[in-house]
Amino acid sequence: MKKSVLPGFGLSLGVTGLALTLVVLLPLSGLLLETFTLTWPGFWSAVSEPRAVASYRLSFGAAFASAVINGFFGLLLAWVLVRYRFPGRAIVDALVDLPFALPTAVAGLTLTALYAKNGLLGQHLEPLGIFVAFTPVGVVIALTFVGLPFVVRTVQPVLESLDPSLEEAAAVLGASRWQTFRRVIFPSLFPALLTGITLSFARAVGEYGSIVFISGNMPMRTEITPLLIVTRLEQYDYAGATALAIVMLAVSFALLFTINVLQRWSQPRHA
Amino acid sequence: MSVEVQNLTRRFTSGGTPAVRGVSFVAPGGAITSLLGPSGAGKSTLLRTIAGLESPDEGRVLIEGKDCSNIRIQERGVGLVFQGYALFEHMTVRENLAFGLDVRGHPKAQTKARVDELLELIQLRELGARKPSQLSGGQRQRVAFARALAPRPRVLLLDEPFGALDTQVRMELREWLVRLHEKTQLTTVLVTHDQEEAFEVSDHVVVLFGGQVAQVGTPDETYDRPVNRQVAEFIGGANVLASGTVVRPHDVQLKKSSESPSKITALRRVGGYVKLTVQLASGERINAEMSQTEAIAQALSEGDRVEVLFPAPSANEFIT
Amino acid sequence: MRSPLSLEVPLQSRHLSALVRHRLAFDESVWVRRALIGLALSFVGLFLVLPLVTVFARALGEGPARYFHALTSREALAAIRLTLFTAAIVVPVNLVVGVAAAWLIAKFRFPGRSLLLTLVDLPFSVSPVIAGLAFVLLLGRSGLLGPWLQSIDVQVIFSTPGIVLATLFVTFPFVAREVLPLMQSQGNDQEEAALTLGASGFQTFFRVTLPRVKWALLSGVVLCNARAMGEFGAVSVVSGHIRGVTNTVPLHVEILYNEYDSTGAFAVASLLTLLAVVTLLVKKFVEWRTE
Repeated sequence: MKKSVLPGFGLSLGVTGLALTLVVLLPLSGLLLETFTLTWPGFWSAVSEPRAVASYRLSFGAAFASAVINGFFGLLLAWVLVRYRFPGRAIVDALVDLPFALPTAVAGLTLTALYAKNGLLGQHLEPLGIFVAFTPVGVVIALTFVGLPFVVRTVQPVLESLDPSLEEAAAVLGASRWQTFRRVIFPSLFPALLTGITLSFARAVGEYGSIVFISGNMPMRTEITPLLIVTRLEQYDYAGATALAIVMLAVSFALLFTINVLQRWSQPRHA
Repeated sequence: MSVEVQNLTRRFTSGGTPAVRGVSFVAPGGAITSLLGPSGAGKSTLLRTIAGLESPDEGRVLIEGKDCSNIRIQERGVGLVFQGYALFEHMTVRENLAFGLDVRGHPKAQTKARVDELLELIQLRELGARKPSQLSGGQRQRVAFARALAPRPRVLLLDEPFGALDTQVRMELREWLVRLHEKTQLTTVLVTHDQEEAFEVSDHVVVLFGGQVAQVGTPDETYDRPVNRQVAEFIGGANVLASGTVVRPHDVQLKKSSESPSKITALRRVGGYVKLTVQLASGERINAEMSQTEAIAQALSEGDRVEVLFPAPSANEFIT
Repeated sequence: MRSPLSLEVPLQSRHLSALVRHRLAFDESVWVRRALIGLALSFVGLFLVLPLVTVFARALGEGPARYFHALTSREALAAIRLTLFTAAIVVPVNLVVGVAAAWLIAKFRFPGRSLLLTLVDLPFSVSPVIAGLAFVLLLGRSGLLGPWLQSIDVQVIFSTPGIVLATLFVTFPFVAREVLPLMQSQGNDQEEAALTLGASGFQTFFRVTLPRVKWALLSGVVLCNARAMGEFGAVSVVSGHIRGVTNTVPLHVEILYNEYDSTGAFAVASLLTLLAVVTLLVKKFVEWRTE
């Protein structure tokens, strides 16, 4: 390391290192150490029993569905917020962050009330044969809510900084508006969009608070993996809870790695 | 208050090519010394090392004959004017000027008097309450100067101080700097890539290429007697002939002559003078300049054959 | 008869590039624009506005008396106290640590720097439930440090310290996240200028660096606070749900909901919603200030 003239290297390293160790690394290493108490057959049966597999299917499936929905609507919202001026734009822009600021328990409570069979929306959906509350559809809706800001907030700055002369060039060269979007704008946004979708997916996979309310928590049907972990913990089955947590952590780290690669890809390179 | 740099080397990656390699020179007390060279020559690194913002891998910096290696940046007594000014954007002009005195715990009244004096010096008395973002480029530049001068440094270091300004403002500020220097007699080291700027304001020039000193001397010495082809071409865009002769474009004399093997291949008028390209008998092309009046007197135009004369005084040879 | 070319007459009288840019900026037809705006607004209305309105409508649905009764019950007040207490510890700690981390990562190059950045961000990628589980496994009765904690008679899990720790974990990255990009983009010039003018390290930090990142810092603090007061998963795992003792406000919402006290649940939830709205307003204010 080159000696820097700026002061405070030791102090800031000390504070950051200490806090990181006590608050983040120590508990996570506790989790990893706990895995050494597991036997392989025990681990395998805990992570591969039908109830666990059903929970993965719901957790990852619903998270994926919500991430795709957010990919579409997030791109749309980012586009509308950056490119158009309309009354209430500033309010909409501020509201996009609501899922960041609103506690997930409140989101879960409210969405459940809206989509329950006597709820404002549920009472109209039920006659159509659409059941949302206490079904996987409800899980997707809650996860869409919590993951909503990610795509908007990753795409928005890229769209804002997009060089207008690119679009001008395309137009001058004779491209229609749709061709310009598909062949010039969209490819420039794509890395950011993918990053946003991955972030939204990662957030959805770990979500707990809102799902507890809306899913009904029925084993095999509407039980997400984090909930199964809590159930195991309440049964004092620490080994089972740890095994499931390891599976989820592995997925989280894979996602984290993907996000890092995506972000490196989406940032313009400097010579 | 001389500044002496001894055998200085600075690498940015360990084992990599040094940005500055074995540089030595003396900036005499009370004079303006320019570090002149193309971008990437290591000028700014050198200046930052003198300021104490970079620590050298080898060599040392002496201010007034005293080794500065172990003197903290705060106590070096240098004033640095940054390339992008680095004004504190969240402070007013007055607060910017007072900063260097405040942090040293100077009494309020004394600081106020000094700030008033500096505002007077940079002719911005009315604008003390403004934020830097509300000033023009030239005004920001003068605030940066005054801020560096506020704590009464022993040495003033200027990193491309006029780089970001319009030609007009640049000219004015250059003159202002020269006048300021006459008043303060402060030892000054100026980094620039503009040879005209270096020649206009400085008493000494250190020409740098690729992190090494190519030549040290007065502006006249480096112009009239460049030590090598690189220096000759960088300073004043000289013609360097195959024979090793250096000829400045304005020293080339042309005389219309239909028998001559040399020919004008291009002729452009640039304001009051004319730039010409002449192909010699050897096939080499050289640049020449003359006044518009002279070009009209001779009725020169493209394709004309001309006799080419290199007058002795500034034409000289160097060993390559 | 007019030639088709006559349509292009304005081109000669106006500035060409301005005209092209103007055309491009509004190149989608009005109908496409209206349809896109309409679709976006419907989505926002359905997913964001409607839930927001529902909270208050349901909370006040049985009248203000019932609303205030739900908020002033002994258990609700205990939950509010615990949530405030937790935030009062978590936010200042993460403020200091976040600024230290941002300074370290923005201003210095050292081996392991990118690893450190990843670690600071890590809590965002870990499910809150797993964070809670990790603390239970480390500090719980049968955890790694459980016997030692019992020997010195300290209970962490199912108690306030556990709630504070779990909240510290989930809110760890917030301040650094907001401050770091700004510190990086600002470069070191002004700090270096301060040093050459004679400022000490602390003077440089408090008089030059801090004032320049104060709005980002405020933004980080309110987001950190919102999450600290609203965290559910991690706190739920470590709290043990002891009514009136280890219940935070979000956990109290769940209890009321499970007891079919819907109005009570919404009344308490409305407090958290107000907090979210205030957070958004502060964040918007910060954006407006820094534009």
